Amino acid sequence: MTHADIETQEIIDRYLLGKLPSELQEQFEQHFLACADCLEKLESSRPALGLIAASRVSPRPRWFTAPAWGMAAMIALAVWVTAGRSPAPPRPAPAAVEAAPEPLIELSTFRGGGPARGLRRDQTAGPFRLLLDLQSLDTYDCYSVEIASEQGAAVWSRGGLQPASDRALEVQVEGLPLEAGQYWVRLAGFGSAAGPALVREYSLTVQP
Amino acid sequence: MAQIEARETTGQTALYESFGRGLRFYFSHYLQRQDVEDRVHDTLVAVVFALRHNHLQEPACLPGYVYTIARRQVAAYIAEAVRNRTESADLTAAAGLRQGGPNPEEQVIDKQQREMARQLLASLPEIDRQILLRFYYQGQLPEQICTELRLTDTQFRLRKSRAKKRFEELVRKTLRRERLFSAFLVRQEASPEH
Repeated sequence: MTHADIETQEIIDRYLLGKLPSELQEQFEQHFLACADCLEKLESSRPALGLIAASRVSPRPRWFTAPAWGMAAMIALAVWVTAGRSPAPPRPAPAAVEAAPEPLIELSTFRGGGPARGLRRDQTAGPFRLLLDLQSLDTYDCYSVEIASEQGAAVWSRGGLQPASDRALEVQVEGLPLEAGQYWVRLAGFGSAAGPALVREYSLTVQP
Repeated sequence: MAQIEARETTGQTALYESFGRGLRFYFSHYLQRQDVEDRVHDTLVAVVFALRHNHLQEPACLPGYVYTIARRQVAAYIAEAVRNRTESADLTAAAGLRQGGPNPEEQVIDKQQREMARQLLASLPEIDRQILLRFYYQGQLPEQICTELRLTDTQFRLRKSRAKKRFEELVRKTLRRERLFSAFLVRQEASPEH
C-alpha cells in the first residue's frame, strides 16, 4: 500500500468511518503501525470525525438549501421587519444546525464493554427509534431487527430493513410499551445466497 | 532485531519508538482507553520474546509480525469482554438488579461533546457544514450530495477537503484551549494561595 493509494482512495477517512473492506483494512493497519505520516493524519482526523458523529446533527433537507427558498425567506423576513408586526405565535427561526427528533436510542457496536444504552418505560409507549451502529460489521442485502426479553423471548420484530448508509441502521419501533428491564436487540442479516445470520446483539435497558 | 537478540536495551527502545505510537492508535481504535497502554506493552513484550528466541528471521517481516500479535491481543480482549459481559448479565439477573444507562459523568461528557460539535459546525459556512454532515455523518454518496447541493464532482472534492481541514483545525484549537484550561484549573487547585 502506497501513500498515493491512501490519498486517492481516501483510505484514512474510510478507515476511521469503518468503511474499509477487511482486506484493505488489514493492509492499512499493518502500514500505519510504523508510518509516522499516516499516524499524523489519523490522529488529526479522528477527533474531527468523532465530533461530527457526536453532534447528532442532521443536515437540512434539500428544499431548505435551495436558493429559491433562501430568497423567499429573506423577502418574508424583510416584509416582517419593515411592517413592524410582532409575530404571534413565535415560530423558532431555523437553527444553524437542527437536532433529530427524540427519542433516538443509539446502540453502538460492542468494543470491549461500555454502558448499556437505554430509555424510560414511558418513552416506549409511543414510537421511538433505534440507531444501530453497523461499523466493523459484515454487510448484508437487508436486515431484520428483533427485541428480545432478558430471557430471550421475542417481544417485537421487523424485517426487510435496509440502512441508509453502511454506518448505521435506523428502525422505528412502535406498538409497545416495553416493561422496565433488560432487553437484547438482535440484528440479523440476509444475504443473496446464505440464510439469515445473527450479525450483532445490542443491550437495551428500559428504566421504570 | 540483532540488538534485541543480543539483549541490548537500545534494541527494545528502538522497537518502542518504531511501533509504540502506531500500536497505541491501533488499540485505541478497538479498545477502551484505559486498556490501551497495557496492550501496547504486552504486544511489544511478546515481540521481544519472539526475537530473543529467534522466532523471526527476516527483518522485513517484523511489521507483519507485530501486527499479527496486536490483532491477537484485540481478539483476546474482545473474547474476554464478551465472557465478562455474559457473566455480569447472569449475576445481574440473579440478583434482580438492572443495569442503568450511561452514568452521570458519561452523560455530561456526551453533552459537552455534542455541544462543542454543534458550535464548531455552526461556525463553518453553510455549504461546508452540509458537505461534512452529509458525507461523514449520514454517509451519503458523493453523487447524491453533488446533485442536492448543485456541485460538480471537482467542486465537491475540493470543498470537502477544505471543509475537513478547516474543521480539523477548529477542533485542534478548541481541544488545545480546553487542555490549557484544564491545566490552569489543576494548577489553581494545587496552589491554595490563589
